[in-house]
Amino acid sequence: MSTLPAHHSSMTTYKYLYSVIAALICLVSACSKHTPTEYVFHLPPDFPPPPVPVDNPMTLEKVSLGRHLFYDTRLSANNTQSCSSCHLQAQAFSESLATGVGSTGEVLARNSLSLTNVAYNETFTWAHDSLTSIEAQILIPLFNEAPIEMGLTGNEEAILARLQKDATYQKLFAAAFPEQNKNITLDQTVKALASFIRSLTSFNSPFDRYAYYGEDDALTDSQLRGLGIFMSEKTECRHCHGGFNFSQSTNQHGLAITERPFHNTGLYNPEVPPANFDQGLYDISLREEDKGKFRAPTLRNLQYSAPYMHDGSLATLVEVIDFYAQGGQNLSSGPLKGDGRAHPQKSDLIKAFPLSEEEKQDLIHFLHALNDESFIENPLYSNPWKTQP
Amino acid sequence: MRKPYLIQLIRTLFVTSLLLATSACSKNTAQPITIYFSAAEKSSANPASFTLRQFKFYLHNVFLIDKQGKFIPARLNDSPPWQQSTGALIKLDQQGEQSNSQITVQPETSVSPDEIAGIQFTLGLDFSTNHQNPLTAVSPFNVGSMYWSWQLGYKFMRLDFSLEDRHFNFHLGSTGCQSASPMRPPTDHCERPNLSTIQLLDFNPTTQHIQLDLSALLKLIPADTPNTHCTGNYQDNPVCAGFVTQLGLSATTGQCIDQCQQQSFFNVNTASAPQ
Ligand code: HEC
Ligand code: HEC
Repeated sequence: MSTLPAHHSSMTTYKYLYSVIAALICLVSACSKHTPTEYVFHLPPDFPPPPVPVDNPMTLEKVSLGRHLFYDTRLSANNTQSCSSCHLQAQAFSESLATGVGSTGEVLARNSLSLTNVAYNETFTWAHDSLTSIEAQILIPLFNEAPIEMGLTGNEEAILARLQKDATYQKLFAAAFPEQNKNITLDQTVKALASFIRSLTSFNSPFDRYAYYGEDDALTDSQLRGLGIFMSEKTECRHCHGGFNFSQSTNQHGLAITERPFHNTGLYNPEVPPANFDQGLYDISLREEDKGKFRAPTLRNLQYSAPYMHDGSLATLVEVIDFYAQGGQNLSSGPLKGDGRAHPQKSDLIKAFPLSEEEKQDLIHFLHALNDESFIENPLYSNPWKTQP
Repeated sequence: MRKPYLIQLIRTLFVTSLLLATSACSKNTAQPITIYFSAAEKSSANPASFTLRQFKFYLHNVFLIDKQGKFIPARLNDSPPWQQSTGALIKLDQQGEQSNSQITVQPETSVSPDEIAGIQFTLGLDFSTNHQNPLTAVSPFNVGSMYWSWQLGYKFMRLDFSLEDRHFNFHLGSTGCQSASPMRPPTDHCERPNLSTIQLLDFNPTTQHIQLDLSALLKLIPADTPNTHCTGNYQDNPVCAGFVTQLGLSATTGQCIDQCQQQSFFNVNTASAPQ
């Protein structure tokens, strides 16, 4: 019969069994009371979900809390500004100013980035090669002092106390962080904001219907021609704006080989660089070859996210395409006077190309096929304070 | 007395699975073999200052050739991120933080390393890998800079460099692939597959490595050549056509000329691993 000593077989095995059952009961009861609900991304079939940090798993409760925080001006020191002041849903979570303005009126150097599919980005901001998590990125608007954005520095305690007093937040924080529901912390605030931002996925444009839902009639003939032009070796757009998010800086499922996808597009090459001239990645790395290099942003939802480029200097898509067709920008006057086309670090993929008026229209029609109306109208992303008392 | 049986059963299962695992290992006693690559960048052929920007290529379909001239199929090990059984990515430039100058293969039949006298592989990817669903592709098939579109598939080789301030981009891949749009995969083979068969004889992976000879390519470029993009219509530009010919391919048909035996880009270097 058994080769094991009798005491082992009877006592110990039962003990294990009991503890397993006890643990199971705990789990089940926790589920019904406190355990947060896993968040499921809204994606087309077969789509890779975005990477999510292990220490901040996506839950419905955190997303909901983050959404409240995102739209709350109490998050800025002087109660005037929320994330949504510079990232507006109607503008695909960017804004129509060329460059942002902080809570105290200071002007930022850059155009607010659209938060479309931001969870897939390999790096964050227009040009930073080591800012690789949303959690880290969020600290910038919160704490930035030069220029001041939301002005948290030195005011953290006061701001957290503000939130702590609010009964809505007491409930939301307790639901999002059930295992630590004593005092609201900055860490929780940032994690919740990051979770909401990760939930901002947009894959329901006519292009997506065509490409990923297999709907052959989702694109017009002009848009299909434009897709061909976009993918052609003549324009080379696909090189830097490739992949399902139309940005080479996409952290795709299982991506293990990282590159530094930053490019100088020949936008500027000032003969006399003004003080504080934005040199992009160079300002971070101080490497000569990084001068004027920026991350290629997603081309989704462009209709809503104008103006374009890191400084919002190009107002329309026609201007952007003319810029590429000329192989960069030559400014004959103004403080940035100089020939961007001749910048020594300009990408070898930016080269002038001929484009007929019809081809230009086709290309623009194609870019418009990347607009996802359901994204800017999605009630799950809207201001929750307006719909709830 | 039912529990002891249970424990017994678990033990039996455990031992059986151990045995199974060991026997699976002993089925193929052939040692995995690693093959190294390098790029010879320095060139006396072209005095203009040379800067390598990107140099990457895919390969698959590897055979080792023994001293008797026998072809031994050698499977690429599944070892992401740089290789899967369906293909490997070699990256010989220093751009970005990572590069990869080697592949590891598992010969189908046992072969002693000093019996190996040659190697053959296909530069590029086979049709089904090349036109796989890009959404579900895993490393090394999700590297954006090596991807064209679902219709055309991947860049089999990407070589970007500058001579002084002039830029050269050689992107080799299948062309003439028919489908409704770039977002639809072709159902049939591409008109110009541009798959080159690279065969190197007198090559032993333990004492030698494979070297890519950029100087031979630079010799093809006349001193006053302007910026050149070879990204599809290779036959239209003599420099692009020359590049394709160096790989043993015809620029007009996209097929091997004379089994690609005239390729002169891949060579044997007598050092065992790249310096
Ligand atoms: C004063 C305007 C302003 C406010 C307020 C603001 N942002 Fe931004 N945001 C910007 C600008 C400008 C950028 C681009 C910054 C850069 O490139 O240096 C940006 C970039 C980002 C990015 C990076 C997107 C990407 O694709 O890399 C994220 C994420 C982000 N903001 C989230 C937030 C959150 C969360 C808040 C609230 C805590 C917030 N922002 C508040 C202006 C603002
Ligand atoms: C060499 C890489 C590269 C190529 C090729 C390229 N882009 Fe860009 N693109 C970028 C970068 C980098 C930026 C951001 C530049 C900046 O802000 O200074 C950008 C910005 C843009 C923007 C503005 C997006 C926004 O949200 O502000 C649009 C639109 C755009 N590109 C469209 C195109 C089109 C259309 C093509 C083909 C004609 C193209 N790009 C080719 C790298 C590239």
